[in-house]
Amino acid sequence: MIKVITGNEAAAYGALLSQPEVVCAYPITPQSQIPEKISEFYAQGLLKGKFINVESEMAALGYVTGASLCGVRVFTATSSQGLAWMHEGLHWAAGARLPIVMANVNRPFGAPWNLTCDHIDSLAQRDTGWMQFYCESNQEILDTIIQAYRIAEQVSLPAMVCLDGVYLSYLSESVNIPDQAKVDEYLPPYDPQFEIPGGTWKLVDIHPPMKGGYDLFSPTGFMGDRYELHKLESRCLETVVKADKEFYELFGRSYPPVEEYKCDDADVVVVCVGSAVGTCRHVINSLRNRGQKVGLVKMKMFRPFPKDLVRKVLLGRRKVVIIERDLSPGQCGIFFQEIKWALNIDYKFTPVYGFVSGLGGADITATLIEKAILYTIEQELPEQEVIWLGLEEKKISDDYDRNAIKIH
Amino acid sequence: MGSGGQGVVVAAKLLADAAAKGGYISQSFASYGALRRGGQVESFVRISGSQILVHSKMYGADYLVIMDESFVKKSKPALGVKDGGVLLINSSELPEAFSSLGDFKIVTINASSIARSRGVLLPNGVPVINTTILGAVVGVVSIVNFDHLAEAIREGKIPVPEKNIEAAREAYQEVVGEAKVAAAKGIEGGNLEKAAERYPVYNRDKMPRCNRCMVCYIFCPSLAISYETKPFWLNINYKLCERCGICIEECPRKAISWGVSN
Repeated sequence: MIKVITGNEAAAYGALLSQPEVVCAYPITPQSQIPEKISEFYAQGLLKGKFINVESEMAALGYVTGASLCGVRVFTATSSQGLAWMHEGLHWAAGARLPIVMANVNRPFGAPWNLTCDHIDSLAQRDTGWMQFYCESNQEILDTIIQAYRIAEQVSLPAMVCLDGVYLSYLSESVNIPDQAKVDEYLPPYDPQFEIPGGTWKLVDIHPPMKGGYDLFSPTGFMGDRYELHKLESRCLETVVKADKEFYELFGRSYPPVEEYKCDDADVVVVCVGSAVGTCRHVINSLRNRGQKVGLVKMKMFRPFPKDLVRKVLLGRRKVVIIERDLSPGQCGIFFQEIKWALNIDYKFTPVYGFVSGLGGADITATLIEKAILYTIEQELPEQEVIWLGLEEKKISDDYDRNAIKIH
Repeated sequence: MGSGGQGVVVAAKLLADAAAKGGYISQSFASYGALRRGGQVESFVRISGSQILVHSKMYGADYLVIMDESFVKKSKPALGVKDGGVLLINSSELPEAFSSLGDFKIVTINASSIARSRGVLLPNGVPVINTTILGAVVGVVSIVNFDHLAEAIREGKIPVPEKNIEAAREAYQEVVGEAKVAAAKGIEGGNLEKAAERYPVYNRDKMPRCNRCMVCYIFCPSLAISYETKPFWLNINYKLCERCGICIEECPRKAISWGVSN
């Protein structure tokens, strides 16, 4: 069934098709439509589980954590400040290896107050142990949520599905909503009959659930637990690739963790995240028509970082361009750090140009992306870690302003 | 583009829906700040025969629908339409009145009057024009079928869909048969022009009524109201004022009222 729906509604449909037994979410702009839509499904009797009203984001995550410890499939959704309030709970959920799936609508933290898109909120949670997937279109949001349940339940780790605030959350486009029967075939009912890898406890034995992995660990025991968590994270890429392959066989749509687009003979490869990827594809097509050898890499998965895949596609390129919607102030873009690290593991030099653009929902337009690529082609070596793309004109008052590289 | 509360976002969604029903791939998108009723809202629709990759806002559109003519009457904003593009304006005036806007093909439709005559009204009597003007849009953008629009309106969770569809049909027919349009325009109108020109006033006559509760100051969505203490006086900054009338509505002592400019 093809419907024109917003990104938020796509997330709600993804959750509905996965049939979680407990859903709690606290509304926050730009995520509010997700709990609204799910409560509608619940009222119509489409959602068989429980929809619980909660008083805050922390409570929302607390409820789903408790429910997940009882061995049921759960869903929650949040954004920005709400995610920050969940921060402690995120560690608890990942530490207890609970397959929670959460939709996070990307929005920056205040101050200054902003309601649009910026990836900093989820990137700031990168060390919590949650898997993170970034989506490009509304169709991908729906599909990724279904995939995320399968991956999360197979590797027993929580997963965060990130969608761009406003640029996807409020954007309506045609989405193919798959049949429930087909989804059921791909995603069988959650059966928590497994021993949590590395843990000494069994999920099914936990009754009452409060005990689940939350015993006090000695320092050595804790370190051993982190070792197991790290092992789990390092291995989960295989599961992600396999889940995607099977999804493709059933639904005909595929979202690899690191997607290559026209990269085969490309000298310059652009790395992009989130909704800007679509715009980037459009620019790559038009530059290819003009004879430039450019390609695109879409980073769908950020945690665990798919370093081998990144190295396979980016090592040895003449130039790598990263266009990202986040900034670690005083340092550089976060994807820039991670990718540069991945490329320098064996001390081969690949020039990486880090463009910071679209912070706080500034538009990353096709013109800007094209300017960034053409700038990179002209340069010999990257001079600075941050190149400001699409920054409004600023008054030049000191040396920093004079030296900073800005493309308007 | 239009004012917040006119249904700009819903209109874009319905148009995208209607296009999808005709087998096109469509996308709709809105950009709005924290403003409530009265502020400027922009929404965008892309209709294509193939997959739409771009997810940014729109620059250089083919068509622009202006639901609130005061935006182009007060000033000449950058319209984001390509040269030779089409402007569809909700106005009681003839297209020539807007010829100073630039090199565009201009179509005007008195959607407010059509919506009023068809009874598509809010409880307070203000006509709801978004579905009406969509009829005209479908008339101008010929690739979308009117029946698909009617279907989209029916499915769109809109109160009294049939009245909306009738109003849309009238607008559609007016735009499709353009000769009729010119004749119909001279008669109607007047009300809308006044509505666009009016603005909230706080003046000396009303000073005794004001109890300095500052409700207007708190409720103003565009921070247009400021105050002085000695002596007490309210200032309304008409550059910021969106003419939404929230201050008039909220004032418990009726110390602010509509004024009409001469």
